[in-house]
Amino acid sequence: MILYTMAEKTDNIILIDKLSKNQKFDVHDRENKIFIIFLTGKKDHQGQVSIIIKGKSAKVQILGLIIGSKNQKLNLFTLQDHQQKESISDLLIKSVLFDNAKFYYEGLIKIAPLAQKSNAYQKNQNLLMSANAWADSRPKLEILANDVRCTHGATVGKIDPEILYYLKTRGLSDKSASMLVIDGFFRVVLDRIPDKQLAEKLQQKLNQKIRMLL
Amino acid sequence: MTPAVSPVLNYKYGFSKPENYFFKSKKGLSSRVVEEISSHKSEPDWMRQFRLDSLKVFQAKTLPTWGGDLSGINFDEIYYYIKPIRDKAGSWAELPEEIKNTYDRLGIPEAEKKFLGGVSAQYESEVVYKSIQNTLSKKGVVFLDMDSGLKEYPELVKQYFGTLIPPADNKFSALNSAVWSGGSFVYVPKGVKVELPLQAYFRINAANMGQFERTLIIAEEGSFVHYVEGCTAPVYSTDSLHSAVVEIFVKKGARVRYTTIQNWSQNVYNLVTKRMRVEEEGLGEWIDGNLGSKLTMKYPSVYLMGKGARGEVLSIAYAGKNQHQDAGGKAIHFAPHTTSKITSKSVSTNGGRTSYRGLIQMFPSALGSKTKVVCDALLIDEKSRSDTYPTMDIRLNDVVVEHEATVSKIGDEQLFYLMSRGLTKADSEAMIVNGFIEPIVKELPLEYAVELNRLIQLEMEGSVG
Repeated sequence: MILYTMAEKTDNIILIDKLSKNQKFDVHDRENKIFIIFLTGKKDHQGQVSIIIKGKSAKVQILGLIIGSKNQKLNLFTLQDHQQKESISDLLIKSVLFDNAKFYYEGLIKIAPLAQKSNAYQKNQNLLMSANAWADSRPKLEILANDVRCTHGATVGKIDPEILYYLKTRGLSDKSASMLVIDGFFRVVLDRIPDKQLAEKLQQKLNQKIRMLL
Repeated sequence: MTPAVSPVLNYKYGFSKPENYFFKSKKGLSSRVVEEISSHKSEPDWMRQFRLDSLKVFQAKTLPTWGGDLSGINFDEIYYYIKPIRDKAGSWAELPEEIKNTYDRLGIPEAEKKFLGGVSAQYESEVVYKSIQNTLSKKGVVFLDMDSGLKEYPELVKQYFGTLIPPADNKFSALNSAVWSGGSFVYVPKGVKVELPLQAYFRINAANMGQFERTLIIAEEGSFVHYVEGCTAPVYSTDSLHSAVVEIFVKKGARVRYTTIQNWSQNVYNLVTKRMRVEEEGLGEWIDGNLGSKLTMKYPSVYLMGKGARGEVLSIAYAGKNQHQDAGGKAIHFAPHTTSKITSKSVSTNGGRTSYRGLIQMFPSALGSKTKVVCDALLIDEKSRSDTYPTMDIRLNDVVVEHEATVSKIGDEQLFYLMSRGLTKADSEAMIVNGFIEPIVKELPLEYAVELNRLIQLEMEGSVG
């Protein structure tokens, strides 16, 4: 795990590039943290990322950029545990799956009775690049306070053939059209990273990998 | 008692009639009780054997470890079969006064007048009253209670019964298979469209009695039928168990809509298995409203088996004090170009808990399929709880899968606006809740929609504090 700390100390960015059992992160009063789950290697991954919001008025982002290929098995569990009031957590995890890759995702938002006025969001989007890839997505909510706003969403699908067709009529090859679409798919996540240098570095890594797989 | 009195108002406090039975099985479950039920109904051998085999499956299976708390069920304290009167009445006039009174309080004769469809009311374990429109039988449509269905159409029943939901599916389908009684048998021949909804009313009226109705609907090619099931039950001090099994076969190009408004009293465990098998270009729809009971676990499912088959589940759950509604829907895509949609609206108030639990499964054969799941939850106060447990298991890429869910409270601004127009807080809240569930309510037959809105209005009055 590499820890990036911004010079201004306004943002703490934590990059998680391998998963393990019971990875727990506590968030305290008024903290502003960004967790980036970045899995692009060849290895299988299995593990948990639990964010325990123990403080009030904290702001947490959990971002996920995941590429799976070959016979890779990726197994990710995330927890957004709101124990105190007025905090915000926002999760966005995107995966692109090639070959026979299998991605199992389970995400849980928990809002304790004390955690009134919390906002929690959770979104998981999966792009399947091969007929044999699969994604199993289980976004869950357990809400025990009422003055809250929680949403979650999940999508699974392939690249819209009409989009590919359009790009190809503009002279792009199959490969570069797919590249462009995947780039846009991940860009939404990368744009949320305030450290532009880091975002660019991650994007390069993603592109490299995708170019190899397409 | 005039039928004009709102059944909803009466329900709130519960009412029950003295018990008057022709036959009551012994408490608890054993092969003897099962044999007794079967011989009492003079069933064919295969059904007796089916029941006995199912009992073994039931005894071997453990209770589910997920979902609601089932520890309060004592299977030894339940009467598994009760027959209230000797014969079935052929018309309303022939029904015993006592049963008629109960129905009057529920406003059912009114409903019957309005709807010219067949009415079949289940009082205790057996359907005692049925009136089938002549037009139905002329078209070749069969609408019977399940026991009569077995007697009159043994071949048809044997061909389909227990094939979509086998006894070994889960512990409660095994229990139902062993001790079932009542329920409906519907057969719609090829190309026949039944324009009026078929209705059946279910009631429980004996302390500690389980209700295990079994419904089988077969819609042949190109046919259409809408089946409506409404449940209300008086309050008892000991827990009772309701565990139904509903199997529906939707053939090529046919459409079946099944509507339930379930309003069991708040001591009933409502554990139901419902499944539709939809073939090519067919459409299966579940409209499922869960308001009463102590614990409901019910996930109506559509198995999309033929190319272009469609399935839809609309679910409303309302949980008040001491209630847990664990409801949702399942869509399993086996064939290409199948589509499904699940819409769930839940309201938790006064310490109640609602859980949406659902499954979308797409097998590699489901090329070009689409699904959309939308769950919205409303939390009325800080004591209540709302959960969402969706599962999406997608094993191919040529599909579109979407899921979204929101949980929120009633907007302060909405409340303020309505109250500034002179509405009380309770009325405002009821109006907002009714608006929230409106997309589903508008799919209900009129009188159900009216009753549901009234019921929510009433429930909301108690919850303001």
